[in-house]
Amino acid sequence: MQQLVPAFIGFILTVMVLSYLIGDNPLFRLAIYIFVGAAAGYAVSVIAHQVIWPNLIVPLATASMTERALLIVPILLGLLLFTRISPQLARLSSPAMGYLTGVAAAAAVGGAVLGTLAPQVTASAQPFDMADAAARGLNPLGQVAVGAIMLTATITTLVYFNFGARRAADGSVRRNGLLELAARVGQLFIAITFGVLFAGVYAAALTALIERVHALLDLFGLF
Amino acid sequence: MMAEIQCRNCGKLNPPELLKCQFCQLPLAAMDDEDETIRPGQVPTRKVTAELEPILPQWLREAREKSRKAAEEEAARQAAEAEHAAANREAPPDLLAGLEAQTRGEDIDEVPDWLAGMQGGPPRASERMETYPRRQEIRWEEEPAEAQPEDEMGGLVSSPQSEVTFDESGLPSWITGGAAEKEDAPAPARDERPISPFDTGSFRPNTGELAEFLPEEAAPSPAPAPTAASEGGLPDWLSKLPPVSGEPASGTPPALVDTGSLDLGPKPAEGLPDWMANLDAAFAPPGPEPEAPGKSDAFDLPADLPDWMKSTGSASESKPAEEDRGAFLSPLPPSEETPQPPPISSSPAFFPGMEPVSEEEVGELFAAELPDWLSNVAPAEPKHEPQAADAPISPGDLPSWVQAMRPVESVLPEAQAAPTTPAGPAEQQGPLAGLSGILPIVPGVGPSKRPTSHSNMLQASEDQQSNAALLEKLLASETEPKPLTSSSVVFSQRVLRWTISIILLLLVTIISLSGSQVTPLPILPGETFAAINAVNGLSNDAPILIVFDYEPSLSGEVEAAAASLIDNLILVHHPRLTLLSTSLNGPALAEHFMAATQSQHAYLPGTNYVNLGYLPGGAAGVLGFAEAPRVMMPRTLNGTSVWALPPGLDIKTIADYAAVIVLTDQAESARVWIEQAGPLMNGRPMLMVTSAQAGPMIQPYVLSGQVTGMVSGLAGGASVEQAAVRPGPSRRYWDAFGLTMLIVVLMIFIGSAWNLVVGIQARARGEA
Repeated sequence: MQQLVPAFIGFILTVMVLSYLIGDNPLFRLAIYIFVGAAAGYAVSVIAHQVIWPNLIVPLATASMTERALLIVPILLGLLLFTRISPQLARLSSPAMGYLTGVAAAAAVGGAVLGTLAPQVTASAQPFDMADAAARGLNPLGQVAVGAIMLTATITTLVYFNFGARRAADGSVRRNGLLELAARVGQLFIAITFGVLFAGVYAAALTALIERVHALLDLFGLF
Repeated sequence: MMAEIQCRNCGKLNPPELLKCQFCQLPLAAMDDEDETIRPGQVPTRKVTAELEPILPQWLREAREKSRKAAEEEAARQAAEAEHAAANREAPPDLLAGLEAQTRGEDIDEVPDWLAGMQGGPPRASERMETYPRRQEIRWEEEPAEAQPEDEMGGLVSSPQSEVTFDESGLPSWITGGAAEKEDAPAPARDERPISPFDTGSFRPNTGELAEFLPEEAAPSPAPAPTAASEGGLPDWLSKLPPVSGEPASGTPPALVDTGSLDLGPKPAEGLPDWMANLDAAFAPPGPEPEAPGKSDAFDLPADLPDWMKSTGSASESKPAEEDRGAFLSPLPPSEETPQPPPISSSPAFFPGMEPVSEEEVGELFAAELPDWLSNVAPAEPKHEPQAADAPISPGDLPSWVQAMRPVESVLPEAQAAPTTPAGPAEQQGPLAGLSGILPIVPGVGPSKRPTSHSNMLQASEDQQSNAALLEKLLASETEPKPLTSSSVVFSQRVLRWTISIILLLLVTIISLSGSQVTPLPILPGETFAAINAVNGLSNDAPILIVFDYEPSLSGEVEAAAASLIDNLILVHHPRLTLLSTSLNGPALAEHFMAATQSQHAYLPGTNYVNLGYLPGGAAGVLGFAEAPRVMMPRTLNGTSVWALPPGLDIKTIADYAAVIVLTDQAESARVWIEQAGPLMNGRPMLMVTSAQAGPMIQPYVLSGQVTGMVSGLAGGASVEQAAVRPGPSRRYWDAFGLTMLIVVLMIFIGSAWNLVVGIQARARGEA
C-alpha cells in the first residue's frame, strides 16, 4: 500500500501532464499548479529546516557568546532583505544585496578565469604538442588534426559573431571576402553544435518518457 | 560686549545701553520693531531703483521718455498759469501744500515712486514731505478763544489753492517779501493775514521732531547750540520742502509762519544737500548781519537765525518786490553787493533760476536724493540730443550685476567693433512696441538685390533615387494585406503532433512491455572508460562525495546513468559516501536515488553514508564548502553533527575526499563545481554523471583533464553496465530508447525532406 499510493498519484499526474498533447486544458494546468505549489512549499521547508534552523537558530541557543555576537551580522543583513517588500524601505536592503552580489560576482569571475578560461586555452594548444601526444601513446597527427579542427571551429565561430563591415562601391554593405568565408564555416560549426545540443535534449526527454512509461507499467504490474 | 547700535535716522553709532539716539534723539529700540512702518518724524528708507533704469524694456523706456516730455510741457503750462494768477491771489504757504492735499483726500503717499514716474508728472510736493506732522497729531494748547479759527488751520486748509508765488529772483514771495516788509512796515497788522497757529507761538506738536526743536528754539540763545536738529542739519520735514512749480510773482506773501521761532540750524551745510549748501554760500553776506530795528514780537528774528536764511533774505533785496516781503525777514540786511547767481538751466523745478550751483552739482543732488530715472524728469528743457530711446545701454550705466551677466562678445573689443546690422525704426504701438527691425519700413525700400532663384526639381543621384524606390517598395509592402493562416494548416499541425505523440507512446509502451533487450549496447566512450578507471582506482572505504544537482524531471535519466557507476563503486570499494546538493530538490532526490537504485547494498544513513542536505550560496557556497566543509555544513539533515560520523571523519577540505562525483542535468552546475572545487582537489578525480543534454557542454572539461571521467545520459549508463557486466535500469530502457530514437530520426529526416520539397515548389511558384 505504501508503494501503491505514491505510484497512483504519480500515474494521475503523469496522465494530466500528457494531456497537453490535445492542447492547453484544465488538467494540465492543475498538474502544473500542483507541481509549482509543491515545489515552493518543499523549498521553504528545506530552507527553514536545513539552512535557518541549523545555521542560525541552533547556534543562537547553543553557541558561545562570541559566536552569537558574530551572528548579528547575518541576522541584520537578512532582516534588511525583508525591507524589499516595501518600496519606501527597499533602499535599506542595498547593503545586503550589495554584499551578496559582490561575493557572487567575485566567486564567479575568479572561477571563470582560473577554472575555465585559462585551462581551456591551454587545452586548445595541447593537441599541437606532438611530443606529448607521442609520450601518451596517441597518434600525433591525429591529435594535430583534432587540434586544428578545434582551432578552426573556435576562430570561425568568433569570426561569425564579428559584424564589422565596410560599404562597397555599389553601396552594399558586406564583410571582407575572407571574413565572410570564415563566418560561413563558423556558421556550420554553430549549426553542428546546436544539432548536438538538440539531440542531447531530445535524448534526455525521450529517456524521461521511457522512465515514466516504465513507472506506469510497474504500477500496473502491482495489480 | 554688545555691538553698537546704528541709528537708522542719522546713521551714527550709539552705545548699546541707550534707548534713544544721542544725536537725533530718536528711539533706537523701536526702530527694530518698525521696519515696515513709517511714523511721523521718521525718515523712510529710501529704495534705490536707479540701477534698474538701464535694464528696463525698450517700450518702457519710450513710455517714460514720453512721460518726461509731457511732464515738462505740463510744468511749463502750470508755471504760466501760476504767473498769471499769482498777482491777485493769496497763496498758502508751500509748507501746507501737503495738508491741503490731505483735505482733498489725495493719498499721494500711497503712490509708489516708480508709478509716479510713469505718470509723467513732475515731482509732487508730497514726495518731499514725508516727515510733516499730520493734522491729527497736532495739539493746540493755550490757544486764545478769539484767535482760534473755524478749523484747525485757520481756514488755510480749506483755501482753494495752495500755491506759492515767486518774485523775479525766483525766491518765494514769502521769503523775499519778508525782508522788505520788515524794513518798510515794521509792525504789520496781525489781522491782515490769515490766522495761523504758527503766528501765536502756541503751536506745539507733540510728535515728531517739531516737538523737540521748537521749544528749544523758543528760548533766546545767543549762540547756536549744537542741538539734535542742528547737528543733523535742517529738520527733515523742512529740509524736504516740496518743490513748487511756478514763476516768481510779486503778490502779497502770506507770512504765515514765524520762521524766527523755528530752529533751522546754524550750520545747514552738514545735513543739507549740496545745492542747498551752495545756495547758502552764494547768498551769504560778506560780513556779520546787522541788527534790524523796529521788529515786532511776532516777527522778531532771533540772533541765531541760520545764515542761509539770512543770506536768502539779503539776496532777495535786489528784487523789485521788496514791499511784498514778509515781516519775518525784515531783519535781513540788504546786500546790494551780493552777486546775482547765474541762471541755471537745469535747476530744480521748485527753485527755478535761484540756485547758484552748477549743473554737475544738481546732477549729484538728484543722484543722491532721487533715483536716476526719476531725476531725468527734472530738466525743464527737453533735450534734442541724438541719443535715441533705442540706443544700446552703455556699459557704464549698467549695474555691476548686470555687467557681470553680459556675454563675452559684448566685452571683447572685436565683438564691439563688429558692424551691427541696422535695426530700423522701433515700433511705437501694438504687440511689437519697442522692438526695432521686425517689420520692413515700406515695400521697396529694402534690399533691391534680387533673390537667387532655386530650382524646384529634386536633385538626386541615381543611387539616391534607387534607394528611395526601394524604401517606397518596402513601405508599400508593409501596407499590403497579408492572407491569414487558414485553419486547415492549424488542424494539420495538431493532427501531425498527435500522430507523432501516439507513435512514440505506442512504440515505447510496446517495446517496454515486450521486455526486449535485443538492441546492442553502445560502444564504451573514452570519457566513460576514464570514469570507470577512476572508480576502479579508488581505495576501499574511501570517503566519496556525491553531489546531487539535478531536477526531478530528469531524475529518471540521471539515475539510470549513475546507477551502474555508483553500484559498481559501492560493490567494489564499499566507500563512505557523503551526499550533498546545491539544489533544493537535491536532498530528496539523493534519498530517492539511494533507495531506488542502491537498496541492494543495504547502505544505512549515518553509518555508510550521510546526507548533508542543501548547500546554499551557489558558487560562493561551493567555494566555501571546498575550503571548509565543516564550517559550511556543520550538521546533517537530522541536526546531528556530520563530522563525528564515519562518513565525515578526517574530512577538513574537499581534497580529503578520495573522489567527487557530480550528478547533474545542467552544464552550469557542473561548471560551478569544476571551477570552484576543481582547483582545490589537488588532483583528486572528479567524475561527472550528466544528462544527455549537458554532456556536450562538459566535454571540453573532460578533454582538458579538469574532469577525470564522465557518464553522459542513458548511453553512458548503458556503457557502464556493459563494462561492469551488471544489469541495471539503462539496459531496461535501452531497447525502447534505441528503437524510438531510430523512429524519431526517420521522422526528422522525412519531415526535413518534405519541407525541402515544399520549399522548392513554393519557390518555383513564386518565380513563375
